[in-house]
Amino acid sequence: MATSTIDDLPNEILEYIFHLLPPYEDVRCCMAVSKKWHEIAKHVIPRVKHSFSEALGIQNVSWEASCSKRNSITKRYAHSACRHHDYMYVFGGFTSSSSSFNDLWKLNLSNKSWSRISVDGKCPVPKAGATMVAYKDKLILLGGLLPPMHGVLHQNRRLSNHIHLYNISDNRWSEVEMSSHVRIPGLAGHSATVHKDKMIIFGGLEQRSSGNDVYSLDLCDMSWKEEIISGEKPSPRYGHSQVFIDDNHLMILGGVNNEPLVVFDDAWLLDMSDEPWHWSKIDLGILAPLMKTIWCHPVCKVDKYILIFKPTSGNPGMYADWFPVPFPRCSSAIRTMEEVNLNGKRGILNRASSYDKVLDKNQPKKYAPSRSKKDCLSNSTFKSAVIEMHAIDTSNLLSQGRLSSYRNKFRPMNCPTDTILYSVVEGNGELIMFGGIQQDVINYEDGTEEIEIQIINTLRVIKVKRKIV
Amino acid sequence: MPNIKLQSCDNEVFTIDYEVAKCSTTIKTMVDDLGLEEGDDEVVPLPNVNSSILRKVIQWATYHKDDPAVPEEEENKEKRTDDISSWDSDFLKVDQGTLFELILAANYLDIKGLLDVTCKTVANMIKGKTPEEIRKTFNIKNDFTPEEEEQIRRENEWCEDK
Repeated sequence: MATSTIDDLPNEILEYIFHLLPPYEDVRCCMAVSKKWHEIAKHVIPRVKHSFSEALGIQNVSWEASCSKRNSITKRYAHSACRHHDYMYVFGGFTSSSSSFNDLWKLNLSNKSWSRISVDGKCPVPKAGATMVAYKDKLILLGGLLPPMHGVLHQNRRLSNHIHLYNISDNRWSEVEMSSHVRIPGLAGHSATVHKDKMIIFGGLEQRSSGNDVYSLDLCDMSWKEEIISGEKPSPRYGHSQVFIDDNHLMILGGVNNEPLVVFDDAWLLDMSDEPWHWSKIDLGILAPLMKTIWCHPVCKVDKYILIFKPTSGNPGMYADWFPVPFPRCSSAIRTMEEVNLNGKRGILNRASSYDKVLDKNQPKKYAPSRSKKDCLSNSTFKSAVIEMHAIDTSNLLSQGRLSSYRNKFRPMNCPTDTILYSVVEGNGELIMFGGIQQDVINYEDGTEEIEIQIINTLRVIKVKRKIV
Repeated sequence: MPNIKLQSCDNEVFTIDYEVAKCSTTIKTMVDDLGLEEGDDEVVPLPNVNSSILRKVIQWATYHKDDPAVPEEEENKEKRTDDISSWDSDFLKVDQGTLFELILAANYLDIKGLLDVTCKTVANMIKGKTPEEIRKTFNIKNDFTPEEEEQIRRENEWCEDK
């Protein structure tokens, strides 16, 4: 009897084996082995993506966290991240010690291993709150907030308006000389998406306030253009999320403005199909409550769904110190969270209810933060909030101007503690959330608890809970 | 404990504990359908499995007979390929022919645990290899024309970039 070979396996088994491989390079290699393998393997990645999208729609996903292994990336927040091919790239961000990074890391999505890239060329300065997007074989890094200079009191914000390109095949940074007469201001906490050969940016923290301008960068000749917008515009803001809808549409969600502090719970659609471009405010309907606390919680779009990460409880104002003005006002980046006390100086802070009450009255609401650590500790009666993921369906956004959502009865498993200023990117059949600031509640034996702020380098992967084969 | 007799395609009869045999859904269904009871001298024919493979399958099933049933929550979890127990990985240190025959037997006998671990072993043999290395490993003929090969290479370079 002749010995069996891999060719004797039925196609279903071969397909099952391919599904056991990480849905990246390994599966693509299988496609290049033979005609038979190509026929079977070519369906694997699309199927993995499709099942993930379906699972997101019905919230049938689970979270898996892996903490820092050896040779892992340093803890950070307000970093920039994007996906290119089989890798997620991470640049810069704030450190746990009042400074920032200008390092570049890549995460191999197949095996989730980190490696630091030693890059040639002219590196960007250390900064946080920059945007990084992938275009062809390049990463485009724009703007960002620089850490304050040491020993200088009453500094202005130091904001960058530089564009750096990281050429992946050459492994080289280069700074782009602005060829156009339009100069954009220094920005941080702005947003950027690529539409055809243009990178569109909106908003961001500027030197004195926040902006609500739309600029486009022509990626062929690297020239800026300030886009003329007709009609009503979103209010100036930063820390919002921007989502690619199609070549001619993008959407922004949430965000914040300070001086005075205003937290936004709105969403806007930018129509870029005809000049002049115009914004329209999206009617959120029953989804409006989801938007209240998503500032500092970047969203991600997978297929037709926008994934929103909403803390189960929480006060949007309490993050106000973290980005992008913790410097130079704060002596140290690691400290106990100062609560925005909504119920008066000695009141008991019940965050979920009091915050809802305040916000429901009239949106957007201004906060007057009180800044006493003692108050915060004596008032701590709450538990750690966790993140809930909500999938918002954009299928009817362009045709009917509305969003919809599946109302799930149960929460996805293993929801992490509320984290802000993380990054989130889409992999194949998975979402990868990295880093950020996490707020933990410590319970002491005498019944007291303390809130501890941690800057993390945790990698969280969101995957389908039920394997659909 | 009742025993059961299994006959391989090359007519060897194995007498084994029914508790071990019932990890095979196929055998369990046959026994249920035939209404076999203790003391019956009925032999269950397995025309798709030869004696050397059946011996391996029984060895595997005997070792794993006390494994707790996989809770549904776990079963639904995403499959990993790096969680093969050391006993299983030693057990599967066999030539490729035997490995594939074990897969075919596990598939025919419907033994989920054995099918999983054998398929994971094959997946691990594929992981990290170039197409040419995969062909070499499994002795697969490259039946692409140079043009087709070039086209696939280009597709793979760009299709995942977005």
